[in-house]
Amino acid sequence: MRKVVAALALAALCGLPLAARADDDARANNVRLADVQGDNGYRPVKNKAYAGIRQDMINRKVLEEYVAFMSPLRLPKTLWVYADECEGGPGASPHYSPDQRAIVMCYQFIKLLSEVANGLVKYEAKNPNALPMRMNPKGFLAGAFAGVILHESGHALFDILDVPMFGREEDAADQMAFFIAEQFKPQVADLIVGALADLNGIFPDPPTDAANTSDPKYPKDADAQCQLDPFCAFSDEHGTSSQRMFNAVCVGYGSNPAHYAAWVKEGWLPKDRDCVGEYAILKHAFAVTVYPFIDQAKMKKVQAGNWFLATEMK
Amino acid sequence: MRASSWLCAGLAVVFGLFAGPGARAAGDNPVKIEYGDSSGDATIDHARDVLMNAKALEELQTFMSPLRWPASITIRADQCGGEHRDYDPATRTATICFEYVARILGVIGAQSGASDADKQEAAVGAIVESLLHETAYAIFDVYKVPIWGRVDDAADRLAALVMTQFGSDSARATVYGTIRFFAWSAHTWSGADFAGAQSPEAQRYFNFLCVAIGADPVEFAHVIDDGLMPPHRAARCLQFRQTEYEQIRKAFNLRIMPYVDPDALIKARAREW
Repeated sequence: MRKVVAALALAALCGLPLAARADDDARANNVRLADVQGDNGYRPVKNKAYAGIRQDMINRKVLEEYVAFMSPLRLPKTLWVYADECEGGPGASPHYSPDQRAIVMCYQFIKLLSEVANGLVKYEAKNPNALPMRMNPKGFLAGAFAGVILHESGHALFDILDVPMFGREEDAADQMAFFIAEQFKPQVADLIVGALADLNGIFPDPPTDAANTSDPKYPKDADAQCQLDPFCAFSDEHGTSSQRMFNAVCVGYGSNPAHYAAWVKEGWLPKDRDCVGEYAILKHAFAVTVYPFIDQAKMKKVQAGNWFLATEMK
Repeated sequence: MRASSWLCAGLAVVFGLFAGPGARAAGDNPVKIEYGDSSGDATIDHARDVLMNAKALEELQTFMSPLRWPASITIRADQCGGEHRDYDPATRTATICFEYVARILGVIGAQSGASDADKQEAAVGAIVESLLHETAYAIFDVYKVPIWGRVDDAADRLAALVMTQFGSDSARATVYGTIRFFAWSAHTWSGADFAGAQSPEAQRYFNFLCVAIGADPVEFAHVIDDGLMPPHRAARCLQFRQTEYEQIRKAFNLRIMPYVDPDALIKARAREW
């Protein structure tokens, strides 16, 4: 379990004591832990299956590190973050709640990520060349956690900053995660973008054949039926898993064609997709709608930090 | 009835609603239009004839007249060597390809069980959508609109918004026509198909319908009860604090509406059908 903890965490900032950051941040509206009765943002679990995940997150100060990572943001309203055993059972997903103005990281999802990470090596052995980036399980887990919380941060920023949204918001939130990641050293960017690309590469796309509605296991719920239908399955507000994987690869390549040249060579992107142009559009969007709310001096310090453990960076 | 006849009538219905009395003379119009040549392939030539006989680009040019353009743009109908040609920011040229129009007509023509009225509606809707979609790229470029999300989806959402702003008749014709074409496209996507910048027709179907539901629930919300929009997505179209329609409308009001002549827009919307 300690290995999971280590893999989950973001590494401590270099040279900036937590106490000093807390004083500075207390005067600004920015990202803060939603503490309730001293839980420091880590809500108690009801299901003991998640107790270990919760404790490991506490030990590693995952949410505190996220708050520190986001400290360059100067927001008009405070963004809260906490971890919880979310409603929805084992399949509950992290989300941004506009009513609370809070990012909620669900223990269930961290458990799922851990299971995916533990199975990654076997998956790659069975499906060689199926995923854009070879990653070690610890790196995958840390990168995926960071990527997902940055995705939810995207939703939060779109809400709090009232960002005009011409495209689909779920794709935009993915782009926020990819873009932020690519502002860091290539090794850091690789971990986040690579993990998000691989995570989506593992999950299936909509079915291509009609479901057997006579099957006794055919669901009664309309949304569950929809997911089994080759047409209706495209109604989800998220892109398909493959779309999201290719979007990750495209933003990565567009931000640094030399570093990610192998992705084009290996056939991960069609030659006629203008990823450099797409990245320029994304960069313009970030520059106009988010960048004015960033303390640039703090941003440079955060960019210079080591955000992952050496064991994750291998 | 020849395809070009009913297409002409259909486009006049839709774009004619927007052509206010203040439409500019062609010479000083910042929206330039061009029809390229076609190669002699029968289906490509027919697609070109359909567009030219319907004066599709002329109608679009008039429709764009309420916009104050800081720079001229060109809308071109051309043979592209494929169904799609990217917007060219260097020349500010957006292109609708004869090959894509040919596919629209081919898909619709193959619907042996569909009524002529439905086929006409699908052709008009899909061609209008394509024209608005390609023009959206020019709008995003010229006005330096910040685009979050995939740009092709942004172009679709802007087209859907525009379709729903000029009365129920126009919205009904273009939205149902567009989604009918997407449904009839019957294109199976898998694997590397998803690598491109364009979205699957089925995804575009639901994106369009969701914006329409939010724009005019009285006209379109019945599709939820009819089972055409699943509950999970329907909530985002109708019940969320900010529906998908409100989201795109807010974005438009912030970034594009400042460039619209409000008086010309009122006149366009006030024309009766």
